[in-house]
Amino acid sequence: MAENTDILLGYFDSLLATGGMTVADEASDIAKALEAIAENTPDPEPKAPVDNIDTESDSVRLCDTVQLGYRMIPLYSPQLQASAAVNLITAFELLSLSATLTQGKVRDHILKVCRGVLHG
Amino acid sequence: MRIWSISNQKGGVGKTTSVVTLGGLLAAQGKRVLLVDLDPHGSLTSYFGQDPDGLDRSLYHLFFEQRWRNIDYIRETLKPTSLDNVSMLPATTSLATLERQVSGQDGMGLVLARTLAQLWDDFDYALLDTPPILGVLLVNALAACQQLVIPTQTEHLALKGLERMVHTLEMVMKSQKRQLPYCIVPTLFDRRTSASLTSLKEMRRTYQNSLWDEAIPVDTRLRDASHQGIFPHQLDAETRGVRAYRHLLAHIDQVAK
Repeated sequence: MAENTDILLGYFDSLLATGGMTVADEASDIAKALEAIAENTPDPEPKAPVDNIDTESDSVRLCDTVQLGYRMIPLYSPQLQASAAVNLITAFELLSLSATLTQGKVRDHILKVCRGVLHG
Repeated sequence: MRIWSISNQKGGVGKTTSVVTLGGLLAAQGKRVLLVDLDPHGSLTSYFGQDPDGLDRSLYHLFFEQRWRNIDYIRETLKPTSLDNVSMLPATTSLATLERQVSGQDGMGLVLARTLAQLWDDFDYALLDTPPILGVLLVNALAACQQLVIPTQTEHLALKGLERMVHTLEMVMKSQKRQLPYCIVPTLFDRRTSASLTSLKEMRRTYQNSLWDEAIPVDTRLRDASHQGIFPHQLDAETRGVRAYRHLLAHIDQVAK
């Protein structure tokens, strides 16, 4: 019986593994990535969206961050998902959107909001 | 979204009937409902006129190539039912091979949780119809749900299945480091038989804290509804089976809150 239970527990642990990452680990990684992006974003003058389209490198990093972020959702217990997951999904959708925007106040504001959600 | 898994490691206890009837009653209250078929037999899928052998895509496909990330792909996989506000994520028989295909890959018990997280705003409730066997699909359901409902036929062998189900649940909770509330629902109750009465008494003695204090009676109208591919309350809203499920719904809603 005990051996059976050990085998089954190993099976469940494998299926439910989150790659050793915890919510705090993931949030910390994402927050660092966002801070790095923010640091490299100069305080912008108001610009028309077409004025600056050289955002390729930031876009790549943002996409990576979004991918990383999605991994956080199942780390929350389902009881918390109603609020936590919705906030996260919204944040990641905003990050996806920000990757398509040129540098400017709007994009900067979106990044700050997302950072707030992930820190929260 | 609130996620309820209807599970038991024994077959023929009324899982699919419970999913369909509860889903229909939620829809009648104006809720947007998603029914998820995790059983390779595809009973729920067949119930609504889809062929588990003939569908191009199903829950199976969400396990590969990270398709659970693609919300458009997930939405296009859903199938309609006989009610506008109820959709179904169907099963195909290929699900039976999943255990082998995901063997050795960590984290494959969380695919459904991730998929439902993507659909969080699309539905008010998701009801999961699980296979009667311990494996990756049942683990996905237990990992994704917030409330477990365990239909248990009122007969001796079903009590052994219930024992196994509760043991499995305890191990999954230990692995996930969380508590999952569960409600045992006596089904196919026939008060004319001593087997039903004895089993119900045994359930009450062993699981008094988790047992719903009513029972779903045998009701041929539930079977009639499945033949027509409609929700039981659409066939007869006041048949005794539907009335009992209405009481159960109120009970689970209360417990889950």
